[in-house]
Amino acid sequence: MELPRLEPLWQKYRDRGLSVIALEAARDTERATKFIEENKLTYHLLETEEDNDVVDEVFDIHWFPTSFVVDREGRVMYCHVGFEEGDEEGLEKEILDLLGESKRGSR
Amino acid sequence: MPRTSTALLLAAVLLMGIVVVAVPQEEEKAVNEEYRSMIEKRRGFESMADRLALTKEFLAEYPDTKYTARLIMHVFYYQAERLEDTTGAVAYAEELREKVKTPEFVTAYEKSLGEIYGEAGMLDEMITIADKLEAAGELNFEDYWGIVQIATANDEWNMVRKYCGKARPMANAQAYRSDYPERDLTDEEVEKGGANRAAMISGRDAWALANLGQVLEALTGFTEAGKSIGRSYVGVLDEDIGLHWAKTLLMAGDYAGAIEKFAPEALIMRNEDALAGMKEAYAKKNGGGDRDGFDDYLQKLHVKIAPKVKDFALPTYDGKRVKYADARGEVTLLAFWFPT
Repeated sequence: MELPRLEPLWQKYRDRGLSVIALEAARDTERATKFIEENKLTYHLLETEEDNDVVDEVFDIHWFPTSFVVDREGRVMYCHVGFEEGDEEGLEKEILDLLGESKRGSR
Repeated sequence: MPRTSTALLLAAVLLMGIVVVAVPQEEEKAVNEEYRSMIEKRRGFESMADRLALTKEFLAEYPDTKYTARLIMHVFYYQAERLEDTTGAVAYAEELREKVKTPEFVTAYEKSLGEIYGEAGMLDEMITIADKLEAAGELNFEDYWGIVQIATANDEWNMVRKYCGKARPMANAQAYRSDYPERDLTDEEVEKGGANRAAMISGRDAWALANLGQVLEALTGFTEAGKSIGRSYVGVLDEDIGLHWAKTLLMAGDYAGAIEKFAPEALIMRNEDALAGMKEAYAKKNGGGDRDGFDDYLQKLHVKIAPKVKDFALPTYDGKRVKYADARGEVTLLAFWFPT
């Protein structure tokens, strides 16, 4: 399962400027909060609203989980659909690339 | 006395009637319960062999229900795809076929069996079932598309073309609506669904044409498909149409066009196949040289095609509101999920 794997990534890079936002598509508050508590997730966890279904209407996402890695200018530079053991390494690589990019840029 | 016994008899008949009517309902309820508890229990199993055994146990007990067609696909997934015993899985599916008796369950089961034959590479058997169901008027767009997918995976390009042809009359808004009577679709959704189907068919037929050496005809088909095919937020065309189109452009010698079509998959999805195609197109475009410039070129193109995140605001579970704009300036991981 993807979400618990994102917690260590966030803890590791939050001070370098990483933000993690999870958007839940099902509006199943009971299951979602149970899962969040069980896995002690601490990054931003958001719930879509019936009249504001961002996952469907803005991002048009129908496969879960899907992850976007977004650069500091707000561009979606990487998209990954599905999640298997070890996929967090690919996410980490992309995040590191983008965190590094901005360092170079600010010099 | 006779009156009483008549009344009793009548009561008994009525009661029996109720019992007779009630039994199937009670039975169905029991099956539903059993099914749900089996699925719940199965979730807790780590081992594929255990999951398979539990599914088969259920099917042995209840072989003729509305769940059979679905569960045989689960069996195939566990036994053939995960445990790599395709022969055993097919044999099991064929045996189980004999135990499915209710007509509506038989049709659904035969569709599953056809899919299993297809997945197992037994195309003749798949087509035999498809012909039979087709003669009975049981095949819909999804079924034809399933056959097209199997034919594609087996490089059977003439079969792809044949079944694209059969699906085409159903690739429109009218057929789309009648296939989903239970969904409350708006006219706009129906139009879009129909147009998307037409694009799926044009695009896949074009890919078959390209593989049969008719590259120019194929490009016409892709252009047609490109008008109405669905695309993801990051610009990937549905049903691999972008990838197929790009490869066809590469065949046709349109290297700049190929690079553009490969780009979302190669750069944002990090698809190795697409990246290799892009590399080839880039090398050919530049007459084989300029390897050093490639990485630089990729980086610039990547930034150019990456779509911006539109701003949004949503509540947290403890009632605060978070705006995406507040995270701007940070590298952001957006995770879309569905609790199970």
